[in-house]
Amino acid sequence: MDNKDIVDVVVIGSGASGGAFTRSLAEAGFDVICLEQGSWTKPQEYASSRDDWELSRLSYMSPDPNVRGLPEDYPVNNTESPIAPLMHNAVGGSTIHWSAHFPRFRPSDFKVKTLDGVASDFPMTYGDLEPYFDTNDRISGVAGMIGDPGYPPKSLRQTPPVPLGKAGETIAGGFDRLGWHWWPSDSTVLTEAYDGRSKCNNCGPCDIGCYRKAKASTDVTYWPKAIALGAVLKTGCRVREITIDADGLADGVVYYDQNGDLQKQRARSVVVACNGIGSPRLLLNSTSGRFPNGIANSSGLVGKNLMFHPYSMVTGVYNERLDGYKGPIGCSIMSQEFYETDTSRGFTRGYTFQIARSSGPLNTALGGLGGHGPIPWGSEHHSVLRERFAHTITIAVIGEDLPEYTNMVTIDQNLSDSHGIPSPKISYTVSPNSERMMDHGITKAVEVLGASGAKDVIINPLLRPAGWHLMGTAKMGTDPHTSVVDEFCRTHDVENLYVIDGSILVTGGAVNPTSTIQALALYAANKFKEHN
Amino acid sequence: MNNEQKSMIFLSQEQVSLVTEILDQLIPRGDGFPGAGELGIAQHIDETAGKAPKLRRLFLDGLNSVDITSFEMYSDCFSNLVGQQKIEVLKDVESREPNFFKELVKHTYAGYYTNRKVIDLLGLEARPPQPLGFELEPFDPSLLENVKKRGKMYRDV
Repeated sequence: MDNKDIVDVVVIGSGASGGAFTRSLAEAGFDVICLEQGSWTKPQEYASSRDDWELSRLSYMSPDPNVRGLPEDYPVNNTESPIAPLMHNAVGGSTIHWSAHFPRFRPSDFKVKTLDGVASDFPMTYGDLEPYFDTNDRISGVAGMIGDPGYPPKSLRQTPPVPLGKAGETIAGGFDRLGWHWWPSDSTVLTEAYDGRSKCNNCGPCDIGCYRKAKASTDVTYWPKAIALGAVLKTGCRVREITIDADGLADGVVYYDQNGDLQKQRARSVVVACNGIGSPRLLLNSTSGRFPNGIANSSGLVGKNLMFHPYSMVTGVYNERLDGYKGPIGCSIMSQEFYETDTSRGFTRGYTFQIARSSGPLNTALGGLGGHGPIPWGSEHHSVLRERFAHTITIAVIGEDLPEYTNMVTIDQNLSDSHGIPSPKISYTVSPNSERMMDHGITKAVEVLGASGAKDVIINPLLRPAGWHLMGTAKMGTDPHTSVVDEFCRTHDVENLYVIDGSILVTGGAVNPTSTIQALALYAANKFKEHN
Repeated sequence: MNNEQKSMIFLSQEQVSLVTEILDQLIPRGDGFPGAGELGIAQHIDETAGKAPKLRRLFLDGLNSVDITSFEMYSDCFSNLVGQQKIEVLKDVESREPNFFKELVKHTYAGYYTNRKVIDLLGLEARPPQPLGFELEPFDPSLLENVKKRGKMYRDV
């Protein structure tokens, strides 16, 4: 095993948070190395330019690592969860398959204990993070429009909102008829050329990678600049464990390089950015005499409090053709009419309606974005396909999933990746509060689809392949007994070990958390610079 | 495309014939569309499962089940059955071999709905989404007039 020269910082994972953190430190002159188990992808080689583009979702571009089964993936035991975790392993991490929906957490999301008496507060406010939201927006490029009454005033968006198409305008009309909130979603899908990247041409399938670099996956935003500033990104390198010295400080990581050889990278600080499942997996696999239950786990909370966002999918079928396959698949409008707590509804906290478009003929035949199951085979087949293809609007009801101690990531010693490193196991149950919330959301989604002219509605109460947002498994807080990292993302137990991805989220809000995760990573990087 | 003229990875000629008959039941000819069997989707099934040993085994076992069920229910091979009998056999196999059937339907649809002829019949340009993309009208800010009247709807902290 080679012992590499010591660096200031080793970052593990090159996704949303790892990219943001690395660039920020590189800009300040720190000597940073990032280890990424996946490799670079070439936008021009994404399947969207091939006839069989829809097939890629069934294999190597599936968001489910168990379906992809590529050497850089690790299997996840998801048999004890009704929601399957999703992730991507490449430079850019899960931002490669991300829909680029980019709403921020709202101010109340940071203070749910104070406001609603549930879970815990974040150790910072929306206002504390606002400069970092703005920086992240500028680097990523956000399509959107200021003035949303659902948020405090924001800085100017970088490009105009994504076009709604007939589908988006139809459902917006439904919200208007009911007098409910809607707004064009903040989306990191450029509608004008920006910062050397092309504008979106509305091809549709952002989830299989963006051919034009219009989507802000970090391989085309943060990484080129981080590398130009001197950061080193090593691909095909899978970290086995974080190691400690005699004083209990992290002294680096042991990893398998591209040739499968074991290497040690020494570092003055170690930063974990492997997502809400990969990070607890690495911490729990990093055992020692001092940390027999996993490094930084004296609280016993590493892996606990796993939050997904439960997704209920409600699809309206319309008589007229809406051509929803045109335009960025997950970005159109959203409604936060039912976001804030109203106890008369029978649950605490709330949900967002994210309006999705539709997809190509194959995805439609297999059940559409709502995961409604394949359309029938046999004599009805053609008529049902014709009725649905290009004639649907799907509402994703994204519920805030409060942390539960019993929802967790543990290690499955009987399952491992291609290097023999034990895999994570997920144990998860949708809470009664979330179930009541989703029931409410389904009822309201049906109402707005009806108000927009849907002739029929199809309901999937809980989408299984919906574990896009992996959160809470190394919770942030000021008390070492009830949290894993402090307000600067530094672990309470090991002062030079940091966790910066979705694991640190105290609560999950009811929106895609990427924008908030990246703002927190930039916040943590700034604090790191102040302390080191 | 005539599947019978292509060399197959793992399906025998008899199995290709059986798969073709099954596919024409799953997606039959009608409404101006060809049947999946006549379109040669058996070739897609062979190519897909041929690359995946577990899937190949699932398909071979599943095809055996179709044959066996056909004899159990109607004392004849699948190809000799009439339309409704074939459907009854497939429904029986679907209930008893759900994993096989689910994969069969998925890969049948996958082959069918990525076929240029079908794409054309659906009224789409037979081309991938890139590099041309699609034209859409820019967002119209006047649509927001009603929402703006709502005023602030987030909680202060």
